[in-house]
Amino acid sequence: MSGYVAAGYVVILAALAVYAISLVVRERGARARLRGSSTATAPPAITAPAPVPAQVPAPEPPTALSSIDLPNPATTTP
Amino acid sequence: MSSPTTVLQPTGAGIGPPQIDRPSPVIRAVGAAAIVGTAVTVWLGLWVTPPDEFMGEQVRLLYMHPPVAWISFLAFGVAACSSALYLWPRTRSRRFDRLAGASAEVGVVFTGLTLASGSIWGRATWGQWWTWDPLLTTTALLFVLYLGYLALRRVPGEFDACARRSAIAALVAFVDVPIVYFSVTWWRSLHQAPSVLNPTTGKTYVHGSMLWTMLLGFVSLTLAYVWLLGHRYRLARFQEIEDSEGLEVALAERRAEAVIA
Repeated sequence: MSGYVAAGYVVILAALAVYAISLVVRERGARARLRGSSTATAPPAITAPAPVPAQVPAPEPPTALSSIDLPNPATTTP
Repeated sequence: MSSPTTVLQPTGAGIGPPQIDRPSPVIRAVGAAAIVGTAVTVWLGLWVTPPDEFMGEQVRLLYMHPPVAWISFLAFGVAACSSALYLWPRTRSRRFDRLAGASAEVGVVFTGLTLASGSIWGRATWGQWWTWDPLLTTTALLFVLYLGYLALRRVPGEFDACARRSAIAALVAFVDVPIVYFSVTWWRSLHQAPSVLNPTTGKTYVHGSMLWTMLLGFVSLTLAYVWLLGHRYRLARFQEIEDSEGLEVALAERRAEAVIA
């Protein structure tokens, strides 16, 4: 058998085998992830953060008014 | 302020339970038949069929190279038909877009193998790995066109717009398929004319065990294509479900941030 003939067969069969295995592995991974998410009792939950201790004043959430109306002390001249 | 144990549930519309069943028995049977058929083709092609009078041992690549090239045409044909069905308003469905993408990817793999095995065969018979022959050049162009198609599918955007432009690209790229097939008759080419079904003479130049072995190669690799297409299609469906779930979680997180603020 010619070396070129063997090389041609090896290239085709090996590439197809690698592609087929990669498809099966990716498909099984996706299916496992989906099965894990679908068998959970509840959808992914978001837990609120713990309350801030009383000694430390909680920073005020920025509002549209405060961000627009309050002067910037770094740039305001006395 | 919410307590640490407060759980905020996503309130977005669900996508329903995903169908994540295992591959159907038909697909499994097709895969088994493809493996058996390919193994028999290799056995017949390498050890049973006789060498050719003119090409000698090199003729054994005949049992794999033309079937691989045929599958690339078939795959791009399926992608083009699916794309046309997606563009047609009455038959527009995500299934056709998914099928077109899956078939095009399998087709690109087979086109790459066509170029690789043809290059090896060219080195054995012509003495060089590559030449700018019309058939080789148009096949390389086909490979690049569908690589571009696959890249275009990954460009983010609204689903329908992405699917439409991908479908148009698939149809435009398919124009090269008949050019590849008829290039050996339209222009002077190093590559031999079609040996099984010659469109100009209507004759078959392969006979006996060589013909049956090549036909078995065609059938086996077609079954392999069906199996690969089935799995690639399922993978695309799973990826769409995952993307939808990821979007649901992201929306829920944004809503939770709004509630906390």
